[in-house]
Amino acid sequence: MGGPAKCLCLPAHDAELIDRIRGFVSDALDLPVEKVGPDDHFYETLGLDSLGAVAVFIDLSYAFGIPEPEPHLDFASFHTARLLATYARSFERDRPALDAV
Amino acid sequence: MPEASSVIGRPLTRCDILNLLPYGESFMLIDEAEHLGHRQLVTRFTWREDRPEIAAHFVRGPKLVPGVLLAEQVAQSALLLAVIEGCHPSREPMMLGQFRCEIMGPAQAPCTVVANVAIDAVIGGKMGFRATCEVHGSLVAKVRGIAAPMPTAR
Repeated sequence: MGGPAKCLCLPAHDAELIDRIRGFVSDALDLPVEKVGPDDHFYETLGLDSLGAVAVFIDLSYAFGIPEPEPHLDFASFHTARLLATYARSFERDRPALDAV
Repeated sequence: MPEASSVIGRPLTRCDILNLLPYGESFMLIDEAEHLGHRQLVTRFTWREDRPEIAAHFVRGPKLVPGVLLAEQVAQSALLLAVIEGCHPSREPMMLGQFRCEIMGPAQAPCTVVANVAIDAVIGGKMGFRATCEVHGSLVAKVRGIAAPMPTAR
């Protein structure tokens, strides 16, 4: 079984990260990726349900090493691919600067 | 009756597993299990040629384990892992929400299906998991699923 990413490894460019997230959403919805725009509302526009949201967060975690969301995380606030990319990038900012050690 | 915490770190027998899961004897597709820690579990189930599901699957054809029953072994294994990990109460059912199964090859009885299951995440009570099934060391199925607690009965 292929394992999840062991460390945080986000694409260097936001456009690529957003495209990957669009792919996760299209996979969860069984829609062509072209139908998932960077700013389309997952729940109101695309019809993602709570199971689909879990699938997207799992893909994000598995592919890029994003930590499992805290139980109190409000999924609804990350309702577009662009917003979810910002959420993913927040872990990059939180990571200790290794070169400073 | 063993509680989930008392079976961590030792192989689980069919009796242990029946006490932890909601299934009855005839539908329990796990003979034994080993918790590997880190949200991972290996389960085994042996299919004999004379099991009614095998005999009836293809009356005149090969004695193949139905793919849906490989998937069911994985689903039961994922639930067992959730119980052992304390993510879900013993003997309480879960409902499969999303489930994807790729059948990679035939599982011909008699055979032992080995399922390697890992929980990816538990988010808001919903559990994502992945698994592979092997027979004689060959991959026969890859599975990915999300399960949720059963809705409260009205």
